[in-house]
Amino acid sequence: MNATMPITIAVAGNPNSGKTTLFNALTGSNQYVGNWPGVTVEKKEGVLIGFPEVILVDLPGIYSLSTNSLEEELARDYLLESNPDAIINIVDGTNLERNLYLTTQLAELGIPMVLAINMMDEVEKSGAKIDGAALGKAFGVPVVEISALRETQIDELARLAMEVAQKKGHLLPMHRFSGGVEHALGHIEEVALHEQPEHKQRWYAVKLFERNELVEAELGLSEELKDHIQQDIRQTELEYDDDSDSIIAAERYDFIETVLDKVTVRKKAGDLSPSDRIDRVVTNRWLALPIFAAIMFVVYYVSVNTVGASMTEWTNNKLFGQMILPAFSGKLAEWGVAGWLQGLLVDGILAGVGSVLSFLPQMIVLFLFLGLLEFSGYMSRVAFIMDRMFRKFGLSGKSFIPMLIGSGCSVPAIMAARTIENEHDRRMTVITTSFIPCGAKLPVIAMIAGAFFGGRGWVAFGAYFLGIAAVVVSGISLKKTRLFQGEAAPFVMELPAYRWPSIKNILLTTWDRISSFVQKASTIILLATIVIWFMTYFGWVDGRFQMLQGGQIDRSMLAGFGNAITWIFRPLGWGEWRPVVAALSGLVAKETVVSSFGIFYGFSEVAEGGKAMWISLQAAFSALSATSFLIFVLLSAPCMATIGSIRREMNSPFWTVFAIGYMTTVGYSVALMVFQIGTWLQSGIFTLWTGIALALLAVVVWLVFRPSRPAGGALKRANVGVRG
Amino acid sequence: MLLGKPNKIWCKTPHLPDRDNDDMKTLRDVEIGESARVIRVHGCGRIRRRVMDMGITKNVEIFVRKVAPLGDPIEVNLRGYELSLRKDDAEIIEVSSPMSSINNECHHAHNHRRRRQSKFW
Repeated sequence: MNATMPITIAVAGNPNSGKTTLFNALTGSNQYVGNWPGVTVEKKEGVLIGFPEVILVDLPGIYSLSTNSLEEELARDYLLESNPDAIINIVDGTNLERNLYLTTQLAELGIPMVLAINMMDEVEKSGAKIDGAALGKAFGVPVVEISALRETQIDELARLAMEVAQKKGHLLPMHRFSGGVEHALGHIEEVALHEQPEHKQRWYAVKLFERNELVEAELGLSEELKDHIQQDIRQTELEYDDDSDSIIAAERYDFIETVLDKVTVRKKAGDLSPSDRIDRVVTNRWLALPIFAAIMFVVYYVSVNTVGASMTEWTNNKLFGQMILPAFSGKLAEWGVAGWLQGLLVDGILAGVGSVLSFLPQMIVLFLFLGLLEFSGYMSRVAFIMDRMFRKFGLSGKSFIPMLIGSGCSVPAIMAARTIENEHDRRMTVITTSFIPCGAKLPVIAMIAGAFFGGRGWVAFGAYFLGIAAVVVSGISLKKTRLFQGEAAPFVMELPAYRWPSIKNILLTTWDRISSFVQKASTIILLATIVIWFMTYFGWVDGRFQMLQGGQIDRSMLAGFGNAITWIFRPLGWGEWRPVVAALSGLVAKETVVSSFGIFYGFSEVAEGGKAMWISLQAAFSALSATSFLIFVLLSAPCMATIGSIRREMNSPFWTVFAIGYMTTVGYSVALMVFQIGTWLQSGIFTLWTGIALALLAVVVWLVFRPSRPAGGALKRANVGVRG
Repeated sequence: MLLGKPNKIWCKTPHLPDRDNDDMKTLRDVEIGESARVIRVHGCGRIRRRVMDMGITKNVEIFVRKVAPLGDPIEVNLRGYELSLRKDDAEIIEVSSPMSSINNECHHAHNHRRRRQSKFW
């Protein structure tokens, strides 16, 4: 072997087959987590333990290579285009029949393969028996019986995979179908594929038999040849009284059944497994919802309210506010660092780092919970229980968790959307989650409620209602645009057996998610904090550009910028630079809106919701324009930390810009409608703006109620500037 | 119109006789706690593909275990594992009359298939 030539081995298997556990066992913590290019699917790579020259690629968990999901497409394209040296196919020993379906497809690719039968400990405990060697013989591949969780036989698997990969040979698929199908496949190989390498022929033959147009095009078959093949296919279809793709799927399963009858002794059917017994209670028609509510309450209460909030508070106020920041400024002053540099380092960079770090405790707690729910198998039940309610809004049943977490903080909420498999659902969840008022928006709500509505009760309730309404309306109307259309993703989902989750898995997954957030999201937050700091503290005084003293904030570049764009916000009823800049400062963190008002109105150290400020606010706003202001702050672009995590999760500039643009448009439109229609109802004067507001309302109603498959022309217009 | 009904597209292979009819029995019609045998998977595109990939193929026996608390989706057991699918999607799966225990006919069908296969073993 040439030691400088890197060897790539792909790990493929069904979801819930223990693939993540195996990957962790095979790589230790020596792995890199990223995304597959352009999509929101996680991609993991690592170095095989004991073999530093071997790169292990963790393919997404898939049931088949027939590309009916994004994950399957990614896996298939990777296997066909990147030509890994070997595949480790992990199958769940307690669920061989369905797991081996993918194996029959992988074997046809011609790539050398090792079959790892996982969960052998559970198989033995259940009393079932598997003759691994005989099973391998049927597929023509070596077999290792492992337990990824207990890390038994992992070294043997690594050694065997290495051996197979180094041979750089090809796998000839051994499995055979019934007579009629084999006859047709043989004929197709003979007439169309004899020039292809031997180990690829069967793959192409099966694809041609299934009438795969991509493969037909790739092979460049003549019309004559295609017709000839069609005759074969039709004849077989008539003989089997079924469509060719159904025939192939059925043949694969029939082959597997035949093999399993020979090589396994299955446990008695009819016995309820422990998992079934748990599900009798957990997804019981009457108990499922109360149990779900209780679990969600615990997750929410611990991660958002208790540990999360107090740890975040501690990081923010104690660690940064009282320890690091003062100590750091003290040192800087001691060293005689220039004032502006002190400001940049302390108020700009350190504060920015702090705002990123302050989310971490909450996120760690949340991700530990999510890991527990995912690896135990409960997350699939969440989708099962909530699907009916959420699918109407283009969301997944699993969107419930991001929405709930979002009422605490949108940053972990958006990261939590990762547990949603379907990419449309995942994007929709990421876009709509931050409509739910997060904890940082509460001080703003309290301020407006206190100053204008004599208390917060129904205003806060209204804010949540507004958030939920925005989610629902967005879901229904966005679902009908072409961005989210395409063929409906099938909700045909496995409910995996409940398992004790491995602590190592949960910790590793949490670590991956947290570190990728810190790396990817923090750059944008840091940059934004520095820019906003610079714009707040620098400006022109008497024609000279300089750093500003206290009380000169109306001279800052931020104020200048605010003044330049007040006309945009005039239709919303608050076209003056202070509210405009206050709303903009919400980009740093939403609670900053309150402290900005404090600074603008000369209350330098205003307690949040301080009553002294109410008078100034009452002078600047009417009840109606204050409502419009609140609506804009609640619905429009979220804070930088959230934008950072949206960017991280969307993994696409288009979708990031779309999400932020969409939220801002919604916030602006709703605020405009409320203010203008409200003014009209109060004064009875119908202006141009009233007309525009009513027209906007009509557009919203149309977007919600229009038929879900609009004619081609409307589709095109709704889709200007959208790629692909 | 608000929430829109799913568009049902029935794919047809032109040279095979058209078997879609209104009194066709589908997986949706199977009562909870009963089993049925799959005759054929209708439907189109990704849903049909996915259903077959998950093991719902000709002659397989499916046991309908339960329905979700909100009335949809359903949970079924087949090939030794649990699968959930929406009732609308269950409609593309044509099944024989429900049976509460394993039907002999089913075994015959399997044996028949295996005989054909044996040629290659």
